[in-house]
Amino acid sequence: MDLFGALATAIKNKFEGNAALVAALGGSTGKHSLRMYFKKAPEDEGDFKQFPYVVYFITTAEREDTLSERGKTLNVQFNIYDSDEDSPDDDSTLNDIYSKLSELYNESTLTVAGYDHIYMIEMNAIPIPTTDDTQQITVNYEVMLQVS
Amino acid sequence: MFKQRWYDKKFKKDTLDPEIVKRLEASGLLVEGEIKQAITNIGLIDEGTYRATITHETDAQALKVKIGSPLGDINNPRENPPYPLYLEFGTVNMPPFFPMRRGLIDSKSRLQVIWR
Repeated sequence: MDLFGALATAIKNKFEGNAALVAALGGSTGKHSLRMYFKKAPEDEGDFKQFPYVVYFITTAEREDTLSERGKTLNVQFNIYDSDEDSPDDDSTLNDIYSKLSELYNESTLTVAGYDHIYMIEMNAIPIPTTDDTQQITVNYEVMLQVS
Repeated sequence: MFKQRWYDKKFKKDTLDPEIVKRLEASGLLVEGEIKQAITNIGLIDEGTYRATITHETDAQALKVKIGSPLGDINNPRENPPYPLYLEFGTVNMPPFFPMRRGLIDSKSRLQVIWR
């Protein structure tokens, strides 16, 4: 498996093993469960998306020369979305998911096939002002891996 | 008798190494150019507005260079949407294209040469 695929799987596996974040994102059973997606949320009937959900991306990867073995520093971006149609001023759901996401991933250990994990650190969290009826927080992580 | 001398901001400004200022300016120009190139490479040159607004500001006193676009208003997104933010980080309807981060990474090796 390529590096991006292996890292994406590691992130997904960690999510699926965390009851608190799974519960915040639709639970673990049923049609709209486990709502953390890599690259793109699935389209549902009539373009309807079930909120809240998270989409994550691996945006950049740089060669890391400071390690003894070949390594990479990667940026992983999580976009957390919720609908604000019912209560535009209430962002508690979004903040709750952000807090659970941080608890799970910040300074955590990932199991990435073919790589040794060095670190995963939260770099920033940015509330994005939207023009539609959604709320969004973007959270960026830096991940360093070394070839096993 | 012992005399204490105070060197204030004016002193710092007057004595700032011109070589440092030159390198800061060169760094700003380099990253600005790479971000514009990233926008072109990704295909985000719709009317070229975004590309044309990418600029840099050198603050020699703070030893800082700010690079970005003034497009949009984060406090009034419905009237004046902050498109640079949407292109960088994505939205519910669009993935992130991250031209700023691409531009910075593409500049890294030459930034190291500038500051060697």
